[in-house]
Order: sequence, then structure tokens, then C-alpha cells
Amino acid sequence: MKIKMAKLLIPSAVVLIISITFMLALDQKDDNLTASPLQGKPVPAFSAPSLLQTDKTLTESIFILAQGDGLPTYSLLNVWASWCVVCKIEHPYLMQLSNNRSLKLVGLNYRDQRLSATALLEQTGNPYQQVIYDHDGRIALNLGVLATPETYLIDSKGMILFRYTGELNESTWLEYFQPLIKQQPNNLQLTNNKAD
Amino acid sequence: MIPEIALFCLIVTCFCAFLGMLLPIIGAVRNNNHLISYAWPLSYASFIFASSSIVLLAYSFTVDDFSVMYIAQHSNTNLPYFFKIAAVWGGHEGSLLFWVFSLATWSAAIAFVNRNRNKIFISRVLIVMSFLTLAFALLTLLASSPFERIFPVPLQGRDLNPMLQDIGLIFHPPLLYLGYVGFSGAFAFAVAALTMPDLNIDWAKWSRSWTLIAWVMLTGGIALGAWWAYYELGWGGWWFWDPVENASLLPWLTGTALLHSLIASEKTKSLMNWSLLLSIFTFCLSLLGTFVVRSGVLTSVHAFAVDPTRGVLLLCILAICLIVPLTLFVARSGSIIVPRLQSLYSREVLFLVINSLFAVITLTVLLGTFYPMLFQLFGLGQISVGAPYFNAVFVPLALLVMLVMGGSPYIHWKKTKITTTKVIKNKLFQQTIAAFTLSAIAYLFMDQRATLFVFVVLFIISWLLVSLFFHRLSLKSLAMTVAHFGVVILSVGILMVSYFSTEVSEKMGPGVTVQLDDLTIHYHQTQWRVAANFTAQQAKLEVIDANNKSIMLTPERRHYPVRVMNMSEPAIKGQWFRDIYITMGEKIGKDSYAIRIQNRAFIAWLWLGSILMMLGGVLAIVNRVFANLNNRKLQNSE
Amino acid sequence: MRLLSTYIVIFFSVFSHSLWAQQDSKNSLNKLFIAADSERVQQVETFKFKNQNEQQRAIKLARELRCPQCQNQNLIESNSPIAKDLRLEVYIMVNDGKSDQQIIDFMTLRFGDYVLYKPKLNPQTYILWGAPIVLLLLFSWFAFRNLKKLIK
Repeated sequence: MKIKMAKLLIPSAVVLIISITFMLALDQKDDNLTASPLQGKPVPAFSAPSLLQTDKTLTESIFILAQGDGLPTYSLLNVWASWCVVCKIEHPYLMQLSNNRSLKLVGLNYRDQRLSATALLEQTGNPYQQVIYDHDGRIALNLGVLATPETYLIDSKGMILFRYTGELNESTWLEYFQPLIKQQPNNLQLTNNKAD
Repeated sequence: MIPEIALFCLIVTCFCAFLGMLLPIIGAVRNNNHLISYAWPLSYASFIFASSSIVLLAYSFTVDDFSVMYIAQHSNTNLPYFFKIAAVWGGHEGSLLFWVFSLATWSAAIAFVNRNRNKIFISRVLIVMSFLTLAFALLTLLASSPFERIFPVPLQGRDLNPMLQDIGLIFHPPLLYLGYVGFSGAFAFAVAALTMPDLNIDWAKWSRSWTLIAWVMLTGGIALGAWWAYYELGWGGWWFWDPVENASLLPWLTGTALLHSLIASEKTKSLMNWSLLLSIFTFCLSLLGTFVVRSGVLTSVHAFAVDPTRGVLLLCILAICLIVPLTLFVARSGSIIVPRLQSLYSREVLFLVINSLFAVITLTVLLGTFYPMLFQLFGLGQISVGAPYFNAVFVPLALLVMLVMGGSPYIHWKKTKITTTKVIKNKLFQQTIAAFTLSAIAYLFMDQRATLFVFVVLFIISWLLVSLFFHRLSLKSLAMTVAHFGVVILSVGILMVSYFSTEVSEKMGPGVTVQLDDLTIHYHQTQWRVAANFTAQQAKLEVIDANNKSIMLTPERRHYPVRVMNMSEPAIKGQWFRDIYITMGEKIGKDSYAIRIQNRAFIAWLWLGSILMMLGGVLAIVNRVFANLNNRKLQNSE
Repeated sequence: MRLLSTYIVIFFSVFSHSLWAQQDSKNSLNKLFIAADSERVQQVETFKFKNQNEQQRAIKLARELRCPQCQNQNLIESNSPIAKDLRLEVYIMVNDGKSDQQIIDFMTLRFGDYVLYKPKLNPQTYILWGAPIVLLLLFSWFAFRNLKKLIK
């Protein structure tokens, strides 16, 4: 009799497990965290003109950072374009980050017209130390860029640590980027940063 | 005022369905026949109120009452009249109301047709139907009412999605829903049977007609969807193995197995377990499909207004529809009769094999569809399971099914009459030779694209085709022959379109000529076309074939101003052995467009095959109706 | 106009359910991506292959690769700029005589295994690829046991 009772509970148990699985699946949708396959790998080799200094050619070596007091220890590569709406939304936060001396902000101007891109930077301010001009989207393709804006955290040896697709703001910065940055008491003091 | 009356009708439907469930249950517990018989009038009442509700919504659509949010979002004063009606089921809320309406219609029909049969049993069937009507009516009322008002009232509606403004899509969704909902009949019969003290009643016999109707509708719905995708989307594909498509295929697969299983259960009381479980799972898979589509739990191109609350409610309904019947099944499994087999060479065994194969296919497609979800859930990252996987696993299994189908002529119910195995062997040998000859001849006509695999598929198709001729053709087996012949035609179409289609993409403008196979395509001019709710740029192309016969084709790019959408409308010339399919792509250069010309081999055979399969189903229904009438006459004359 | 074309992509859907479409939040990624230049469009839309075999191989391959930024569409069916870029990449690599495996490696290196509609066979997909065979054996055994019991 007992065995029969136990048997009767099998369907309920199975269906319950399936339902819980679906509930969990309904809950976990986060498109912004598609891990980049390049995570832990160096920035792919490239050679492209600088957006603002037309005669200058930039290569992946711009992500190799010299060690030294007061010098940046991480690069932040931000993929943007003048036609990208969300890029404009996150622009003020990038301006804020550019005050952080431990970060080297590099822009990747993606599939844009040089004139409209420079005009926008003049108008709203330039948070970047260098801007790569990727007119045909070749570099973005090699980086595996999914959509603009996209932000990559790169260490001083030019290794990609993390990729975030979508708007960068204070909460995403604190949640995903900040924990990856090794605390260095001297030069990591974010302005307006409430976290320790 | 009208929308409020419609809302009120829906509330009354809930009420009737609730009573229709409650009173007969009390009646069954107290053994009160009077209470039990309430199941009938209450079924009719919920049908009347549910249909009033949907008719009133349709009326509000026709008078452009944009104070109703649902209408404002899915209609427009410029929308043609036809599409205003179709817009009733053009959105999530309305389509749920359509579910309620079809459930109520179905239960009223079951109540009416079976009014003279076993009263206790049918009342239980109606209890289950009332429960389903109630569940969906509540879901519509609480989580997705199409009657909500907005203020201020917009002057103009947002228009129906241009994708939906198409004749194929007026009928595709309701057919699909009628198919899904239709399987609720099979479900209700199975659940009711499980509650009966004596499981040995004729439920399989009564359930079969309802299952057949549902199957025909679902087949039609899926085929219409594939046809629509083919002529509307502009790249000539017809099946993409998207989760939402798989969701409609799953109940079709179990439904097809169920149809066959029910025949065995009706004729020899065998495969009863299978029939019960397939009835339950077929409807639950329909519910699962609805859940997948409306909750957004899987990533699909079929963007739907996704709402997790609705998802959770649907999941609850699904859980109840699984737990209760399956627990009943476990409890009653001891009392389900399993008759002894007289011979291994019997149709029961053949159907057991077919059922098993369909179960394997269903579970495989189910796993493939949900694998990415589970993968992510276990923290393994993201993965895609798409067409190449499904083709790789589905095609061999489907071929296996066709091999077994081709073995049916020699095998009879209970015991195969040809006693000597020698005769069977002889017949099988003849069939193999005939099939081999047929496929070899077909193979010789093909060009170098025909691989060994193509030959194997050809052989299996021929094997099935030949077996149909080996059958003794009778009025009784006509339905089966037609349906199986449909499978043959469909498979030929799928094989040919996959292996022998060609295409070319060219920059074309006035004066440009392009060659594809035997066709010469000449671009004459670009012209404008203005319709009520869109404007279009049209390319005028002349296609000349090997026999110097010339036809004009005009693919176009449409712009729908209300939704600010652009759509490409391909031009298709359908022929028996190929479709010429031309799409107008983006504008490149001054007066030039990217024109894609495709030669889709044998595509018409897909639609023909589907129609034959449906026709087979219809013939089977007609057969049963006549048989029933005859039975009644016999009873009357006795 | 470009924004429109990406919207259309979202709406390209096969079954009705879908069609009731209003974009959900997940499509936000598509909205972000709006650049496309006609020069590239022309290149990909009217690509010249060396011969028909190469064309068929390229199309088949592009069909088996997922547009990394779309809901669920392959490189042929999607009209989004990134899909066109990648489709062109596939076409060029095919014309350059690269093998299917080389092209697949190129794609997965950048976008991960996610872009493969035909999942690789590895411990994580043993269940997926093994399922049909295991199920077939299971049901055969089940049917066989049943039949043995039922026949005397």
C-alpha cells in the first residue's frame, strides 16, 4: 500500500521539477552578459587610423601599458558611433570615468563617418585618450562585437578581462567592472564612487 | 458600452464553466443524476456567452472603437474590412479569447453529439472541458483582457502588423488554435475514462473523430504557416526549426501517433496505455507550445509581447493538466486491460513500433528545443541548437517511420492471415524489387547533385509508394491510402527542394538580363504602386523559359506608413515541378536593386502532400460519420 | 531607414504567434545596431562565386551559422548589418578556398560556440547528440520486453 502511495506521487514530483525549471528559466534572462570568447586572450592585432589625428596609425600595442606611479593600469575599450543612441546615453558616465587616472579610455569608432564622429566629440566632450577609426567595421568583427555600445576591460598586458554589451553606467560598473580591478590604494580612487 | 457587454459575457462564461464543472462533480459524488445532467445546458450556455463575447469584440473592430486599447493597437481605419476581423485574433489578448471561444465551442459540440451516449461518462468529459474553459477564461480576464479601455481615446489605431495583413495569415492562427484546442477533446475523453470504474468502455471509439478533426486542423495550420513563410518572408524557406515552430510540431507528432494508437485501441482494445498517455501528452504539448510562445522562455524570432505573469499562469494550467491525469493513470494502471497478442505479425505490433518511433522523435525534438534553455540554466553558457541538428536527427527517424509504414500491407489485425512466412517473404521481395526499380529510374533522371543519400531516400519513398499499390484498395482503407500517399508526395517535395534548388543574386536595373538554368530574366522597369495602406516600388521583370514562353513577374518593396515598416513582397510563378521565386532586395546604385532569383524545385509538392494528408483525415471522418449513421439505422430497425 | 530594416528583421517570423509581435525588451540589442553602408550591401547581395558548387557550399554554411545579435536567425535570413558583414565574410572565405572547418573556427573564435546551429560534439552536448540513439534503444527494449510478456 505504501509503495502504491509513493508511486502516486511520482507524476506530481516530476511535474513540479519541470515547473520549477521553467520558473527558473523565466527568471534568468540577461542578454548583456554574453561572455566574449576572447576573454583571457590578447586584443586581436589591428592597424587602423586614429580618428582625431588622421596621419597617425594605431595598433594593438596601445593597450600595453607602462608600469609606473600615477600611470593607468587598465584600459577600457569602448565601442561607439555617432549614430548610436544608447552611446549618447552612456556618454556622461564615460566622461566621469575619464577622470579616473588608473584607467586609459580608448574609443573604437565603429562604422561611422569621420566628420560626424569628430563633430560629436567636439560637441559633447571627448572622454577617450585615443580613438580608433574603424570605418569598415573590420576591427569590431575581429573583436566579436555584438552591438554598440560595448565596453571591454583590458589589463596592462593587453589581455581582455571582460566584455559588457549595452549601456555602461554606475551600477553596471560597480557590479561587473569594479570587482575585476585589483585594488591599488594609490591610484584607484573613483570619483563619486560609493563602493569601497 | 459594447466592449463592456462583451466583458460581461466573458465573465458569465467563467461562471457557466465553473458551474459546469462543479455541479456534475457534486452530482457524481452524491450519485445525483439530476445534477449530473446540468453539464449539458451549462456547456451550451458557456458556448453562447463565449461566442457573444468574441462576436462583440469583432463588431467593435469593425466600427473602429479605438477607446479599446487592444483595438487601438491592432487596427486602423484604413485597414481593409477582412483584416479588421482577422485582427480579433491578431494579438495575444484576442487570441486567448479565441482559445476560450474554441474550447467552449468544442465542449458544446461534444455535449451535443454525445447527448445520447453513456451519460455518466460524457458528463465527466464535459467536466474536464469546463475546467479548461474556466482556466482560459480566467487567464483572459485576469491577465490579458482585450476589453481594456484607454483614455484619451486615440484618433487612429496603430494598425495591424503588416506581416499579418495577408490572406494566409487570416486562416493560419485560427486553424492552429483549433488544432491545439481540438486535442482537448482527446484529453477530456482520456481523463474521463480514467475516472470510470470500468475502464473497458468505448472511449477510444468516441474520441477518435474529435482527434481526427483536431489533427486535420493542426496539419492545415502548420502547412498554412509554412506556405505563408514561403511566399511572404522572401527567402524561399518554409521550415526553420525555430522553437515556436517546433512547439506546433510536437503536438502534431504525438497527435499523429495518437490517431493510429486509437485505431488499435478501438479495434482490439490493445495499446490502451499508449492511447491514454498520448491523449494526455498531445494536449499538454499544445499547452506547452502556448506557454513557450507567450512567456518568452525560449529565444525565438517570433517576437511576442512577452509577459512572465501570463507565463506563470499558463504554467500552472499545464501543471494541473499533467499532474491530475498522470496521477490517475498511475493509480489506475493496474486495471487497464492489456490483451494478449496472438501473433508477432499483427498490426498491433506494427502500431506499437510506430508509436515508439513517434515517441522517440517527439522526445528528441523536445530535447533539442529546450537544450539551450537547460544549458544556460546549468550555467554552461549559451548554445544554439538549430536546423542542422534537427535535420540530422529528424530525417533518419522519419525515414525509419516510412520504412515501417511500407510494411503495413501484409500485416493484419490480431493475426496475419497469410500463414506461411514464405508468401510474406515473396511479397516483400517483390515490393523491394519494384521500389528499387522505381527509385533507380528516378535517380537516372537526376543530375550530379544527386548523392547516395538522395538515392536511399528515393528508395524509401518508393518503398512506401509501392506498398500503397500492394494494398487491397477498399473504401475503408481509402482514407489511409490518401493520407499515406500525401506523405509520399510531401517527402518527394522536401527531398527535391533541398537538393535541386538553384539561385542567383544580381544587381539589376532597367535593361539588365540575367540567366538562371534555362531561364532568361530581363529587367524592364521600376514602377510605383499605391494601395490603401501602403506604397510600393515594383520591379517589372520578364522571365523567358527554354520553350520561349514569356511571363511577367513583379516583386515589390512595400512601405507601411502607420507602423513605419518596409516589407519585401516576392513574386512567384508556381509550376508543377518548380517555382520561379523573385525577391526585390535593397536599392543599390541609382536605379538598380539587388534582385534575388530562385528556382525552387518541386515546392508545390509540399502543399499538395499536406492537402492530401488532410484529405485523408477528412475521408476518415466522413467514413466514421457514415458508419455511425448506419449503426443508428440498424438500431432503429431492430 | 536603416533602423526600419532592422525592425523588419525582428518581424520576420514564421508562425502566427509571433506575428502578434510587438517587440519585447530583448530586442533592444537590435535597435542599437543601425549602421550599414550600401557599398557593403551591394557586395554581399550580389556576390559572385567562382562556381555553383562554391555558391551552394557558402549558402549552406551561412545557413548553419547564427547571427550573433539576432533573436534566432541565421546569416542568410537576417537582414541586420552584422549578419550581412558575417555573410560576406563567409562568402569571401569560401571563394578563397577556405574549408568549412576553417570558416567555423574563424566564427567561433570571435563569437563563441553560440553561433553554431549545429552544436559541436563535446561532453556538454553528449546528451543532445546521444539522445536519439539512447531513446531508440530504450524504446526498443521497452517494446521488446512488453511483447515478450504479451506473447505467451
